[in-house]
Amino acid sequence: MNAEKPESKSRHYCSFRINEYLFGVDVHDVQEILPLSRSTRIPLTPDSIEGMINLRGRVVTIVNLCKVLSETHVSSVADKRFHFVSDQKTGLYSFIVDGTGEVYEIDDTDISQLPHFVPEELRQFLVGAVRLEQESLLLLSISRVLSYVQRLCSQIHFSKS
Amino acid sequence: MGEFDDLIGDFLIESREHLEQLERDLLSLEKNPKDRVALVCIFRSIHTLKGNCGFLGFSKLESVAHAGENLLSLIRDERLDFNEDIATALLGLTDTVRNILQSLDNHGNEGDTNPSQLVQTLKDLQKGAKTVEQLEAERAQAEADQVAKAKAPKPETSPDQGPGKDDKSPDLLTSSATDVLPSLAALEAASNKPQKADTRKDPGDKRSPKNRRKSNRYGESSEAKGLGGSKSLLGTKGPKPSSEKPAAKSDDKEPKSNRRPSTTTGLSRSLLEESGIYQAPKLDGEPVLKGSDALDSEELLPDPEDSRFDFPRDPTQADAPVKNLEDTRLGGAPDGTGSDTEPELETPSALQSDTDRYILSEEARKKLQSDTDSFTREDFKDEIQRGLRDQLSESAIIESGVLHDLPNTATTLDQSTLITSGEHNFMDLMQNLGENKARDSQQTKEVDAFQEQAGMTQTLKIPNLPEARRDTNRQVAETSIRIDTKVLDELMNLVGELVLTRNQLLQLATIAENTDILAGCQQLSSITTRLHDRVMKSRMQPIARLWSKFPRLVRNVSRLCHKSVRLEFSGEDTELDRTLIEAIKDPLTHLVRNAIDHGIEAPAERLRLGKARDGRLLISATQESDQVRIVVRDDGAGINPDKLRARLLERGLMDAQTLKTMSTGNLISSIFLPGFSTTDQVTMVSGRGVGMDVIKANIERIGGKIQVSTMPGSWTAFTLTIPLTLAIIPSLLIYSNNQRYAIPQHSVLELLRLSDERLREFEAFGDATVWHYKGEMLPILNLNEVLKSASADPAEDAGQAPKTPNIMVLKADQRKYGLIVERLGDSQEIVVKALSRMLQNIPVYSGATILDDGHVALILDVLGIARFAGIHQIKAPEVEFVGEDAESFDDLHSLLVFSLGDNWRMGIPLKSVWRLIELRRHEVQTLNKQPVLTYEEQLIPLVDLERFYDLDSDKEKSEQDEVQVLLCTHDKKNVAILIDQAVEIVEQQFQIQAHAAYKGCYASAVIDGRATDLIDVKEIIRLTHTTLLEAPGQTQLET
Repeated sequence: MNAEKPESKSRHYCSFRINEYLFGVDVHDVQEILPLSRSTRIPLTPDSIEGMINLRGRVVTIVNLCKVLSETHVSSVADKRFHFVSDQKTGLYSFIVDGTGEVYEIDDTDISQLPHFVPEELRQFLVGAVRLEQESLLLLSISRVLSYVQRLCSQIHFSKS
Repeated sequence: MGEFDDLIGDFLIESREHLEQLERDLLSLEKNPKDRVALVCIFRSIHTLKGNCGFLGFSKLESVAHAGENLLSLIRDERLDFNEDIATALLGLTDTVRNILQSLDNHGNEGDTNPSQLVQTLKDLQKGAKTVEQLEAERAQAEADQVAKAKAPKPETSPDQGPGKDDKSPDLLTSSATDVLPSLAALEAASNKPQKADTRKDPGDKRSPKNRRKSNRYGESSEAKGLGGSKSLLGTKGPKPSSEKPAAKSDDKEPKSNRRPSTTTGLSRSLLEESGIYQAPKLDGEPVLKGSDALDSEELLPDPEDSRFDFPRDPTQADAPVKNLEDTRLGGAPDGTGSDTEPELETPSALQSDTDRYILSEEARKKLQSDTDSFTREDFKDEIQRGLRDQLSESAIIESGVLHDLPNTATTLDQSTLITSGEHNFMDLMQNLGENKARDSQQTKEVDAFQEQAGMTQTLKIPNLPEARRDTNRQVAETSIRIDTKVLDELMNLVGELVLTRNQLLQLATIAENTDILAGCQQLSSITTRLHDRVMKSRMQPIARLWSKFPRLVRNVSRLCHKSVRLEFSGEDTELDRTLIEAIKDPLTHLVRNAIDHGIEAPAERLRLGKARDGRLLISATQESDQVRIVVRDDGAGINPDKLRARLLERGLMDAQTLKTMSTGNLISSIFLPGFSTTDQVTMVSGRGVGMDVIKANIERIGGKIQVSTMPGSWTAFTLTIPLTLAIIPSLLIYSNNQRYAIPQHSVLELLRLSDERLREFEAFGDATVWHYKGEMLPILNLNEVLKSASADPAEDAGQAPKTPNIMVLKADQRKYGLIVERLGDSQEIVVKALSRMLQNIPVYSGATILDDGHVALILDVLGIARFAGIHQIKAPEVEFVGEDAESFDDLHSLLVFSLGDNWRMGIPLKSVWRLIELRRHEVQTLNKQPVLTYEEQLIPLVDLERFYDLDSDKEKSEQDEVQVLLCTHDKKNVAILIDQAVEIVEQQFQIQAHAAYKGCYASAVIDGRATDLIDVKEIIRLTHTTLLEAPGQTQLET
C-alpha cells in the first residue's frame, strides 16, 4: 500500500459483485481480467482454491473469491465468470468473481469505517468502505485474502499428518 | 558523468574481488604466517585498492587502505611478525572497506562510516615494529650465518667463473645486505608520506638511496651482459633509446604530460604497478633469455623491468649506476666475467636472496611510480615496441612491415608475450593483459574527463587513446566477459519457453504425420536440448563460491563464542544454479553460526566429555539428480529433547498435552517454530529467537526443504534439500481422476501391472497395505486415495473397479514403496515451476509444470507422499564425517536380521543384500567342491552359514527343505548366503557393543533388545572367493 500522505490522494478501484455486496480492489492489484477457462484442480487444497492455469508460461493459482467471501455463495451467472490476475510477492494469483463492474476513482479521504450491515466474517478482508450514490463499495485487501487462504491450506496439511 | 559512473562501477566490482582475495589470503596467512606468497598477494591487493581510491578521490578508503598498507609493509619487511591481532585488524579493514563500498554503491558517497578508529588500531599495531637498525643487525647476522654456512661446503660454481670469484662472494653478500637496508628505511619513510610528495621531483633529484639500489640492478645487468659479450638489448641497446627517446617524446607527448597534474600520479601508478608486476617481466623476458643464456630467467625478471624504465632518463644515469656498482659490488672484480648473480643462487642463501630480490623489485616499482609523472603509458608502449623491433628484427612477424602499424604491433606484443610465458598459465596472462589494457584506456579517458572538469581542457582531446589500444582490448577481452545476471535469467526463461514450445510442436508434428515436419521438429528438439544445457551450465557455479566466505565467518563466530572449531568441506565442486546459491547464502550462514554458538561446546567442556578439543563442523553438498543436498553437521551437544520440551512449554509454543503425545521427530522439528530459542542470553551471534523459522521460510521459498536430525550429546545435522527449480527434468505422466500429474523419472524404479491373482497377495499390515515383492515388504499406496480424489463419477468408478492396477515402485530417499495409479501416460521433459507460497506447505507436490498442450500439471513429490501417507518416519540421511574418527558417530543402518541355528541372531547390512530368494536344498550345486548357485545365468558361490560356523541344528535336514538365500554383493563380487529364516528389517541407530568374536563378522550390537552379530559380507566373500577364483559373469561386469 502506498504511504499515507497528508494531502488527499485518489485511487482507482475495480469493482465486482458477490452476492449482494459490491467490492472494490485497487487497480494496481489487477494485472488483467480474463474469462474463466479450464483449470487444473489441486487435490488436498481447500475449496476456495480453484486450481491452476497457464498464463503465458507462468503458473497462476486461482482462488475462488466467491467462496472465500461467502460460504453460501451460489453463482447466478456461472457462464459469465471472470477472474482477475494479481501479481503478488508470493506468486501469481487470480481471483474468481462473478463479473466485473465499473472502475471508480475514490479519494482517500472518502474512505470511511465499514457500515454496520457488513457481516463479521467479511470484515477481516476489508480495509474500508466508500459511500456511493446507491450503495457502499467495500474495499478489499488482496493480501488479507491470501493470508486467509494460506491459513486454510496449512490447516488441511496439519490435520492429515 | 556517465563514464565516471562506469568507472566507479568497475572500481566497486574490482575492489570487492580484491577484498575477497584479501580475506582468503589473510586467513591462509594466519594459518601459516610464513606464507610469503599470501603476504605478497595481500600487499598487492591492498596497494591496488589504495591506488584506485586515491585516483578516484575516495579519501576515507584511501586512508584506511594506506594504514593497512603501512602495517603490511612492516610485516613484509619482516620488521613485524604477523599475529592474530593484526589478522583481526586487517579483517576489520576489509569489513570497513566493504561497508564504504556498499555505501558508494547505494548512495554514491563514502557514507558516514568513520574509519579513524580502525586507522588508529592499524597504526598502534605498527608500534611493535623493529627499527631499521635492529632489523639491519639481525639481517646482517643472518646473512653472516648463512655466508658462513655457504663458505663451508664451497658452492659448486660454474667452471667458467674464475676461482677468485668465490672468495669475493662473502663480501659481496654482506655489502649488498647493508646496501639494501638504508634504502628500505627510505622506502618506508617515503611510503609513509603522502604519495604525491616525491612524484614531482625532477629526474635529477631522484637519485635517492632507494633509486640507487635499483640502479644497481640495472647497472649490474648491463654490466653482466656487456662483459659477457652478449647482444642483449638491455645491455647494449638500453642506453641508446634513452638518448633518442626523450626527444621523440617531448615532441608529441610533452604537452599532454605537462597538463596532467596530480591525477596522473594515481593513474600512472596503477598502470605501472599492473604492468610492472604482470606484464613487463614477461614482455622482455624472451629477449633477455636470448641474449644471455647463462642467466636463469627467473633471476632476470626484475632486471628488464628496471632497465626498461631507465631508458627515458638522461644518459648520465647510465654511467652513475655502473660507478655505483663498481663501488659496492664488483669493486674487487672489475673483470667479472659472466653473471655475478649465479653464485648467490647456488649458495644455501638462495632463499634469502630470493626475498631480497623481491624487495628490490618492489622498490623498483615504488621508484617507478614516482618517475612516471613524465612518463606515461604510451611512452611505455613505445619503448616496448621499439625494444621489440630492435630485438626481434629478424623475426618474420616484424619483418613483414606490420611493425609500423600500431594495432598489429600491439597484437604481436601480446603474442610474443604468450610465447615467452611458457611456465605461466596462458589464460591468466591473457586476462591480466586484457584487464590492464581495459583499465588503462578507461583511466586515460577518465583523466581527460577530469581535466575537462577542472576547466583545463584545451583543444586536444583524445589523442592519448590510440586506436591500437582499443583494438587490443577487443581482442583480448573476448575470452571472458561479465554478463549481467538479469540477462542470464532472461535467457533461462526464454529457453524454458522454448522447451515448452518445442514440446507442443513435437506433439503437433506427430499428429500431422508429415515426416518432413517431424524431421525438422526433431532437429529443433535436439538443438533446443543442447541450448538448454548450455544456458544451464552458464548459470551454474560451484558451491565453493559460497563456502569461501565461511572460513572467515567461522573464525569470527568461534572467537566471539570462545570456541575452537575446525571447519571441513566436502563436495565443494557441486554446482548450483546461481540464483539458488544466492538464496541459500543466508540460511546456510545462519546454520553455521548456530552450530558454533549452540551446537559445539567450549573446548574445556569438550575435553571433559572426552571429545576432541576442536569442534568439527562439516558442510557437505551432494547432487542427486534434480536435487542438491547440503548438510551442515556439527559434533556438538546435539538437541536435548527434555530441555526442548521444557523450553517449548516455557515459551508457550506448545501445551503439555501436545508435548506428551508428540513423537521425538516432531519435537525436534519444533525448533523451526517462530519465536523459538533455546538460549537465554541474546548473544552477538545468535539467540534472538528469529532464526530457524526464517531459515525454514527462506529454504521453502525456493522450493527446498530443511530437516534436522540429532543425537543428544553427539551431533546435530541440518539437511537442506534444494531442488533445481530451474531444471528441466525427465518425468513420467500419470493419471489420477482424469487429471495428469508428473513424477520425476529418477524416482521411478519399476512399473508393474498386476494380475488379479497377485493383487490378492496384498496384505494388511496395521492400517497400511503391504506387498511382498522381491523379498521386501513394499508398502502400497493408492494415488487416488492419497489425493482424496475419488473419481468424480462414482458409477463409472464402480463399473471398472477391479481393473488391473498399475503399480509404480518408487524410491524415496533409501526406501521404496508402491503407488497404485489409474493410468500411465507418456514420459516428458518438464520445466519445473515453483508453486505459489500457499501451496508449498502441501507435502505431496514439489512443483508444477506446463505440459505440451498448455495445461498445468502438478509434480508429485515422491518423498512427500510417503511422509504424508505416514508410511514411515523419514529420517535425515546420514553423512559420514570424513576422517579417521568417523566411528565416533553412531551408525544408522538398515539391517536385515535373520536367525541361524537354534538361537542365534545375525544381521547383515541391507545395502549389501540385493535379493532374497527361496529354494530347495537340492538346487544347490557343487563346483570345485564348493557349493554354488546358478542365478540369472551367473554362478554364485554359496555359503551355508550353519556349516560355516559348524552349528548343529536340532532340525532334520531334508533335500526338499525350503531354504532362504541372501544374494549379497560387495565390490562387484557376489556371494549367496544360506540362512534359516529372515526375521525382519530394522532401521535404527545402534551402538556397536563389541568387536566380533567370529570369523566373517565385524561387530556385535544390541538390536531390539537382543544381541545380534553383524555379518561382514566383504570378509565372507574374501573367504569364499579364495576357493572359487572368480565368479563367472563378473569378469564382464568389471570391464
